[in-house]
Amino acid sequence: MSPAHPTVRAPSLHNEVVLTWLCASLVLGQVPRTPVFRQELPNGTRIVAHSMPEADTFSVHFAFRHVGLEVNADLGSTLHLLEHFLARGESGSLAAKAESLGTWVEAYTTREAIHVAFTGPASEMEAALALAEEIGGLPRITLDHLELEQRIIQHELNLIPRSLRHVRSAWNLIGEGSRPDPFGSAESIQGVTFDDLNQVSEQLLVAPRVSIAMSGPAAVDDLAAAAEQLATRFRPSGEPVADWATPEWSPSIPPSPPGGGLAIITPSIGQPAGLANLAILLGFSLVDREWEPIYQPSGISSLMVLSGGNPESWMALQQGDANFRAEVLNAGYRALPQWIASQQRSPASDAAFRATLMSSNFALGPEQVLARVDLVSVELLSAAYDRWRQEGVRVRA
Amino acid sequence: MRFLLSACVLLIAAAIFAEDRVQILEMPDTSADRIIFEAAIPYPESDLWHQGHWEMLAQSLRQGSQDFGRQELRRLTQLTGTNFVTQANDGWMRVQLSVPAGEMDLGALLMTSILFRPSLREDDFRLLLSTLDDATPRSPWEQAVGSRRAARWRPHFEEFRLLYETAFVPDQMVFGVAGSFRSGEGQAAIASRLPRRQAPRTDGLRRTPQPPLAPPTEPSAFRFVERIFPEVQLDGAGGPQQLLAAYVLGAGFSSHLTSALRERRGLSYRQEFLLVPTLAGYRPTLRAATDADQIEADAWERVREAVLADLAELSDADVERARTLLLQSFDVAMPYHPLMLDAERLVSPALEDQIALRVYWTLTGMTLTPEQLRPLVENVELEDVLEQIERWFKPSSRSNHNLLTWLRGQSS
Repeated sequence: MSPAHPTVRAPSLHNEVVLTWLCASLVLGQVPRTPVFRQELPNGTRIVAHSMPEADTFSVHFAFRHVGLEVNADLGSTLHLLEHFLARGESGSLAAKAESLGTWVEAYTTREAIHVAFTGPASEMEAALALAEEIGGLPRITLDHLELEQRIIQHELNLIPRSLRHVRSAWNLIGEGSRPDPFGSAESIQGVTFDDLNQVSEQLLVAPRVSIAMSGPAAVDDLAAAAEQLATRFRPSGEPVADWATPEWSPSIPPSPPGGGLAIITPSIGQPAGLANLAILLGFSLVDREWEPIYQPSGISSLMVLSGGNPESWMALQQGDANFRAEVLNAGYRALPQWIASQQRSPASDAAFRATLMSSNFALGPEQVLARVDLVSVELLSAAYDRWRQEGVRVRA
Repeated sequence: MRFLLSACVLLIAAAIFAEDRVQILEMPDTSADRIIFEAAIPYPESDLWHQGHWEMLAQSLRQGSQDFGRQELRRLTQLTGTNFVTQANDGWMRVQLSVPAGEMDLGALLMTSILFRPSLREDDFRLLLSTLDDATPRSPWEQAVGSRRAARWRPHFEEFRLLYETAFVPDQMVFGVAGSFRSGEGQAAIASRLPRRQAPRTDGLRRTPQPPLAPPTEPSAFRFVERIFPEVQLDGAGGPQQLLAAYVLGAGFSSHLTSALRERRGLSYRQEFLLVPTLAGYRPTLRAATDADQIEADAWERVREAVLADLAELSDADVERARTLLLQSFDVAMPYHPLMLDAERLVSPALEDQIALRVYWTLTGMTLTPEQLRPLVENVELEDVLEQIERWFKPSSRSNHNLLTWLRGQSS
């Protein structure tokens, strides 16, 4: 344990367990090493490979960074439609082909990128990688296809959970309204045309906007070679790819009653202050399981939203209850390293975490984040808690 | 491989602990960094009154015990970075917690304290009751599902306590211990802390004529369709056929339900065919959110017609794909498949889920292991699947349009 935590202590039992584990690991020579390879290819695609010999699954995760795209149409709606079509693969039937192997495809859009992930049992990795070459290509899209997908998204918009509606609200409140709403609206979805899709895909599906993370039980060189192969389908871009601007900060608004949420923008979790805010977010969710922690990371900044919660928890937060504060700090402090480790528990979560971080900050990975955990002092945790309490922006669904 | 290993270990170590008829399963795994404790508590009454009390009881167990205050309990059950689980299901409840490796005594103490020495204070009870009024669903889907589940009754504290004392009797329950320990240690740790308690003699619990809390209203932006079918016994006649038919209907993005409703007709975004674990077995349950401008009967009719109309499109390849996904459900954590661990979670190969699954199967008298299911499922053919789906979806099939109706029927 770091000596920088004089008052917020993990329970002694936990200390003993961690110390025992560390000692045993050192004696047995089993201090975990993570063979990770990271490279920016000549065409601009970023790849990262992580060998996980004990895993029985693999995952390949694509992140298509949409930051700074300039288009005529409603960008969020167009991106949402594009995400649905990308998940179908170039053949249009990627899901069925993947599931015949026992593998599966998932897709989602964040404020920074469209993500498409391909995961499955390790025994099918080779066959699945051949299928993964479809990702990044679009199927043949007819007017019928476009209208069908628009209808499906209309249904989807009815089902957006409260926490993501809070995220959406936070973007607008925290000076990020210029960034696309990845869901789009019912009206604007209907207005997206073939031309809009073409314009966005032309700009988006280019090598410098693509990050590929491969995690699984193979040699790191083999995983890197496979990622490199997948990257060859993307063409270089003549245009520079824009980065985020520094987000504007917001006025202070008191915490919200139940049904609402609280949002903050923090430094990247590559910095101790960002990690301290994440620890507090985790602490809140452990102290009251009705609180849903939403964390949208990036290498530049992170959007964190606390959604839901019991009235008594909100009251304790608002009134500065000292016991409640200590409980959140303790729970968050304990949970932080476990949360980072949990991101690497399976190839799917590992590849998603790596692609997300690398997409906006090439040098940042779980190893760099974990190395900064010991820098999260009690002062940083206290400051982060107070910031949540005093500067958190109230959001409503 | 992991599944096979677990199954072998379980076969060696899972002899049911016989003393006092208490059933304690073990699943030792020396590579684990934690020890997991699971308990399943049956309560065969499924009417609305009991269901409301049952859900309240599951939440009350989180309020602390006579040995550990609420904060202390929370702290000690979070040492592995996860919250402990108390989940009310139809006819049974599950409780799970985990502690770091080497903390067998602590884990057994926590589990038995939560189960047999809960604080169940009237003040906590009233506070919890008041929060139910303010509870807001996390999503429109949850709101729709919740509106079909038990309408919550306002329990009286005395009745609530009596329900607890009637249900939480060790020899009615099934326990499980998994993770880092040697065979026999888990059984000993639990058994040595079990109280010798009998269920009180009652003529049935009193049913106070209190009005129920208003059930959550269904979102108006879409029409939610829910249909439930008679429970499936996986090891009974037709069990493997029904299991595979459920996977053909509900596993993955290429499932028959997704294809018929979403991909071909654009009728919905989310549609599920689930096997929900109840005390009577797995209950096949269809859920879909479709256009709001229909009455429920019409919406169900459209769903039913779409499923049946596309049956001719199903091929051996679809059945093979579903079989692959089914057999893999026990080995790989998949995001979309029908087999549920409890009312809210899907089964995954995590040790937490494997011990929970075995405890539930033991609770419901299922004698097969996942490994023994494999050859049975491999014998199922396309014709069997088509026959089963038609049985579920034909107009005269025995099904109920939603759980609320079914529960009312049970209680009348």
